[in-house]
Amino acid sequence: MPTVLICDDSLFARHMTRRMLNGAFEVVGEAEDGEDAVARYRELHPDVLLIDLVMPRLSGTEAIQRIMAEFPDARIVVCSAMGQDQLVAEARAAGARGFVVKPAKPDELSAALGAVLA
Amino acid sequence: MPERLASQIAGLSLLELDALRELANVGAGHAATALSRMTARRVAVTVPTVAVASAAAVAELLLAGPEPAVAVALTAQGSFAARFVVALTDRHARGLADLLLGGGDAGAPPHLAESALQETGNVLAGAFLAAMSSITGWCIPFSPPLLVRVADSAGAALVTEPGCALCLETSFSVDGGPPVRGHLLLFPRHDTVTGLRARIAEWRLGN
Repeated sequence: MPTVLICDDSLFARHMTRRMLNGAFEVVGEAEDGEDAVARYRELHPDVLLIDLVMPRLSGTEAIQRIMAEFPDARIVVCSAMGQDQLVAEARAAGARGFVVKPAKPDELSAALGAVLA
Repeated sequence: MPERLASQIAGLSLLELDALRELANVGAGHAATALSRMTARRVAVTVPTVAVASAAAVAELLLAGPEPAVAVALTAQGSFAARFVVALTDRHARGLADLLLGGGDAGAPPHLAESALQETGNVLAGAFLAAMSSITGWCIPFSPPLLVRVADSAGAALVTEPGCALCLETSFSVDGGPPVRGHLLLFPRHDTVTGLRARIAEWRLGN
């Protein structure tokens, strides 16, 4: 089963994402902000990182840049309430391969994660 | 009458007032769609009204009785600098959290209900501001959500934005089950209103 690291500053978002991925993906860890995501990514080497954009300490886009600099093959999908074209483009330019706008449905999330793992 | 007062304070013409209301209407529609997806329920919104952005006026709007309200506030930045607020009375906030968590969530981490409300604010702000971005062409980043308890004018002052003369207000209701009703408030800063007036003038000229 593919492994996923979830990064979101919202406890509720992490809780619901775990629920949505249950059975199809193995959630190997959670991170609460961008700094935490970089550290947890180094530690866990998940198949895919699912990350929010707006977070304290270090934003999702900055975290993606740092992870991609260190792990150029990282597979990263953004799940954010900020679905504006410019912000999606910024996240993609940083290295995100997929983007899901919140509130995401379970099938949308699975499809986005599946697409980057294909 | 409060609308006229608010528009006079902000120096808006009737056409500009109407255009701002329409912007808020589109934003609220997108936010309602997002809330409907989160709750799997039909969500209705009222036509936006323009109110004076003072703490006292906001407290009066949010506090219909002695029951305190819970507000989730986010700050939009860039050309669309504004405060976006989702507010519900305690009872309706509990109802919304129950709805989002599917009723009692045994074994759930502590503070999950508060987090659910904050995330709701985040998602609704994202939907509302994405619509504003699409209309204006501006990139509108925003801050993480902040949960604020509002029991009086002092509490309301924590969610209002300094430098704002007016507030665009829309009420929403989630149908089915226990009633869940609340408010979406947008406090555009003075320079945001100025920028929007310029955009409205361009749209009138067909640019």
